[in-house]
Amino acid sequence: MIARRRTAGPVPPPAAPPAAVWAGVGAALLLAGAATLAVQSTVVHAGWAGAPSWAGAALARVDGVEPRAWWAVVGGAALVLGLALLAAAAAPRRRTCLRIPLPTEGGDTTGGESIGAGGAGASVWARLGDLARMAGEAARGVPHVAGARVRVTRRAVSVRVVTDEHEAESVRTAVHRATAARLAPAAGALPIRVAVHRREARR
Amino acid sequence: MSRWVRAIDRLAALLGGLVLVFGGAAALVWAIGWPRAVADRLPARLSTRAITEAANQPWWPWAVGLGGAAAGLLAVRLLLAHVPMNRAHPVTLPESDDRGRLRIDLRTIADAAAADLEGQPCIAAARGTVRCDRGRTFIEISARLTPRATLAEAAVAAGAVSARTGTLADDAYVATRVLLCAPRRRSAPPRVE
Repeated sequence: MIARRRTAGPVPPPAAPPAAVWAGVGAALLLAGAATLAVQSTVVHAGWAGAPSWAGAALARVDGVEPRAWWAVVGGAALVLGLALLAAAAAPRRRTCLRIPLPTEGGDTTGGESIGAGGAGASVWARLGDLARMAGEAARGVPHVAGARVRVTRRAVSVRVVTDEHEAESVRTAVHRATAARLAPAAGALPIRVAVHRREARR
Repeated sequence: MSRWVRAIDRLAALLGGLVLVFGGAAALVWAIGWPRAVADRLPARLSTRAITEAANQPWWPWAVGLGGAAAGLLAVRLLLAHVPMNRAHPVTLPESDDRGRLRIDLRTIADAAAADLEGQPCIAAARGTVRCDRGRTFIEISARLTPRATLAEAAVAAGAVSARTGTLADDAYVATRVLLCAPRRRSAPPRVE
């Protein structure tokens, strides 16, 4: 049999698994539980085991039950969980990476379908979290920076640094330069916002 | 994970969500008795008579047993589909004809491409896997940069390896995606007191 794998065409951009993955795993576990109940019921019915049927015992307990006040809490929780599941079913996969353009390409860094150098094959990406780590280390390497926090999204890079330097503007410029150099060429088209907070001198 | 597994996940979320929304709303309305027009339509107590009557039919236990076995097999298949496995991914090349078939295993090419990239001075470690995503099968290489490497030089190395990987078979048949990862955190120097 000839394998019918679709290997031609552009490589899709990396994305996080869909939120509905947990619903699929949960459904499989529920199916396994239902299968266990059903097979146990059949085994008992066939006389191969003397124990009472679990499903029959559960049905007998439920039969004739009247509504209770605490059902409102359980019902409300089920309603909220159901709405969350419906949202997960429709949610698109989250893009987690930024495309790194190769030197021969243009400056599109916003993560479209990628066809790079090397024909249909080249597609180079970096995770947003990894880029934030690299930018954070670069910012912390700037003189007079006591601490730095970086957040990279597919739209912007936000850097927040703490400094003991009175010349906040010079620190801002140096951090901006260091961050841009570290993230080049991934963040070429992204705005880099640097917020400088002055640390109060200890008395 | 293949496309049909993702479709089943979304279908399970949709069905489970609908069941929970309607079941939860019914329990809520039943418990508080409001809105009255809906609450009055609900029975005063739960009844399982329909199920127990069906359970008394001679065919019931066997139908339940068969259904249970099928559900068990489906559950195992679904659970296994969610486990990432490093299995062979053979691809048949178009040069195949009636006289013979040319097949390549993408996994071996992924390993070779990762080793190639790991040999670059800007890359500390690389690992190759075969991914099936959105109906497309391709090689993915996760490469960790060395502390001094820049993204630009790593991207150039990754592009060159992708191009070389394409020439192993055919560009159109072996596509590569490279994920560049940040260098490992530098461990703090030992403190001397």
